[in-house]
Amino acid sequence: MVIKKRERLEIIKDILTCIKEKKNIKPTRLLYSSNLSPQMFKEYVNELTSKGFILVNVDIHKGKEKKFMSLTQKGNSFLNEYKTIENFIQNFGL
Amino acid sequence: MDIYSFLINNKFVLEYFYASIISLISLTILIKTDKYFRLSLHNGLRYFRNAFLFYGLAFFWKFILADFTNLNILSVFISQFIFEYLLIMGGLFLLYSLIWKKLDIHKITYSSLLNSRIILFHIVAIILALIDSVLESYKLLFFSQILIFSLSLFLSFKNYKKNEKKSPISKFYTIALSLGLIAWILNFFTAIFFHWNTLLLVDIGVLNIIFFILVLFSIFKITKLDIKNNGN
Repeated sequence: MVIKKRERLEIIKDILTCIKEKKNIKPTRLLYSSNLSPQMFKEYVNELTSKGFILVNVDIHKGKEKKFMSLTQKGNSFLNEYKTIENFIQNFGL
Repeated sequence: MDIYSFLINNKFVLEYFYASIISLISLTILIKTDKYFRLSLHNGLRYFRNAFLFYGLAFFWKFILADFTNLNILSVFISQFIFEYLLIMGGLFLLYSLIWKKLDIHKITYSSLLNSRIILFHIVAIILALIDSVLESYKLLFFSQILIFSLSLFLSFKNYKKNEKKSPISKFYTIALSLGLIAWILNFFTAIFFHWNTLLLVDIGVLNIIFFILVLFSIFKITKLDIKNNGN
């Protein structure tokens, strides 16, 4: 069986869908769900944060710092338009 | 008076109409594509958008200066140079949008209009436009566009064949590129062998407008499909 390598856009969609489904998700849990190496995961999360697709919230509970990730409006728009973007890229061969 | 006589007698009105139609279509394509690029940050969409930015600017420039007869020699030189430079840049971006995946080593670039690779486009476009303008010829423009459209058509056709769903949108784009190529070939023959025959130029103009309309139509079709899917 040939396993097709995921495209960059598909990976972004998977990460954002996972955050959307879980609403607030811990980075470690998201890493497991994303099926990426820690290095790649870090790169994608940094990119998505810097572009305003996701928010990293820090919660301090009993002196311990806990990180949660949530979807922004922009991230939500991306998921809504993902099919169009995918169609656009595929049909025009971009 | 038949339609062709009317068109010949109103050549400049026709030029204004032609340039403004293409500028407007390019602007619409630019806005639509930019929206999807900003959401996806996909380089292919970025280069495709840039192609229509340059096409739009080229025809806007032509729109402003449609009546070349009132210009002095230096202004004609500058006008031709800018018009050719913008058209060649548009063509190069169109081709690059189809092959960037094979060539882009660094995925994220901060500027898609001025980076180490794109600077090469500017140099090529400036050199070709400069030579043509000095020689008062359009041959290099025609050759470059025929080459660019031939390669783009080949890549687009390959993509259409590869596409398992054989989507009609993919077919429209291939047809649009074929029309673009035919228009450039006809343009070349009209300039070289028919001394810029107005009637032939009108037909070429129509072909060119159809090329832009087909691209716009394909984009609208994709957007419409998405609205339908989201609605269900």
